Amino acid sequence: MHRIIAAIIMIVLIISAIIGGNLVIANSYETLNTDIEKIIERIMEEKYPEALMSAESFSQKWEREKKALAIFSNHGPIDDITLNIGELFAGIKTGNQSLSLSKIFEIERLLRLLNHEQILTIESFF
Amino acid sequence: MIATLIRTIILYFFVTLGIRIMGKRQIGDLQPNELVVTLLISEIAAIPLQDTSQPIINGVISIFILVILEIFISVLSMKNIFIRKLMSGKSVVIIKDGRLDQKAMKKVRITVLDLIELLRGQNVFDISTVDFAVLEVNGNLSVLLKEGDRTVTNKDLKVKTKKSGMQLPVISDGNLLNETLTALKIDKKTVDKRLESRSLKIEDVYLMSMDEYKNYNIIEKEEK
Repeated sequence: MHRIIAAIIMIVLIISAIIGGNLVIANSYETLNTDIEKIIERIMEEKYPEALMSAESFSQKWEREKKALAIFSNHGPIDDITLNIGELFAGIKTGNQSLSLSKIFEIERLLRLLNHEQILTIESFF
Repeated sequence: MIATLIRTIILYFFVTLGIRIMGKRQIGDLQPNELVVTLLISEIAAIPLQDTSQPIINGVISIFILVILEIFISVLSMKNIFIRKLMSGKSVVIIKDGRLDQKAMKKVRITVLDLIELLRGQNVFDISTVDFAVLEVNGNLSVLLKEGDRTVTNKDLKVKTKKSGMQLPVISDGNLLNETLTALKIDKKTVDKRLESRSLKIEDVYLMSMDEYKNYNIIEKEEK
């Protein structure tokens, strides 16, 4: 009987952890994605001072979000995003549009990857 | 490297907790499904230990899912014979009334040399002395010898013996185990009396075991 109770408690904890994890990742994705769109827009319009401000705000949000993300996600993409943010700053500060855009699109792709890992699909079973 | 250290400690506790919740069995007594779970848990625990980019929670969740499945399967196996047979298989009689069942041996895929080896593990060196042999689901062989070859007991010889029960440790490494005294319904005075008769104190004793009939054994500490 004790083992069944322990099993039920574990099920509840596991489901809570999974739901909590998915919510954290989805939330982070939504929060960060809006900033990414702003940055892309400003880089395309070659408004580099505004793009830099947006990138700094994005970087600060990212530093906060990545602590929670690291608990539930693979650290590879998280480290890659941090690296790309550094390179994004370099691109914006030097006014290099192609470099900046490639880095911000890469960050967007990695964030999407982090979010999609949590989505349940038939493919993910195999 | 510090991350690896901390992860190892965390996973050690979770794996121990998982195995503890599953219940006590020795490796040799595990049912097939229990063996699978034990092996899988060790493999799964190794992944976040070796790869620090993997979140530790993935390993913990996987371990506990396996433990949960094992608990539910074992509960279902207890309640339902069909599930028990499906998950654990059934024991097979290899020797019946002194005769080797060769069909049964083919069915469980053991050779006669395997059988001889298993019999030796049961201290049986002459197959002709075996009345029944059953191959259990965990791979052990249970043997019943023919009547004339069985060990003689006191009952057979009609010998009266002193009453004795299961001896439990009452002192372990200089510490008195009150729980055992309660279980045996023996008070501390009885223990003290026995120790006094050998001029010993509790702290001097490495192991003292006693049964409900107050039969006892004492092993003294080598270094006092």
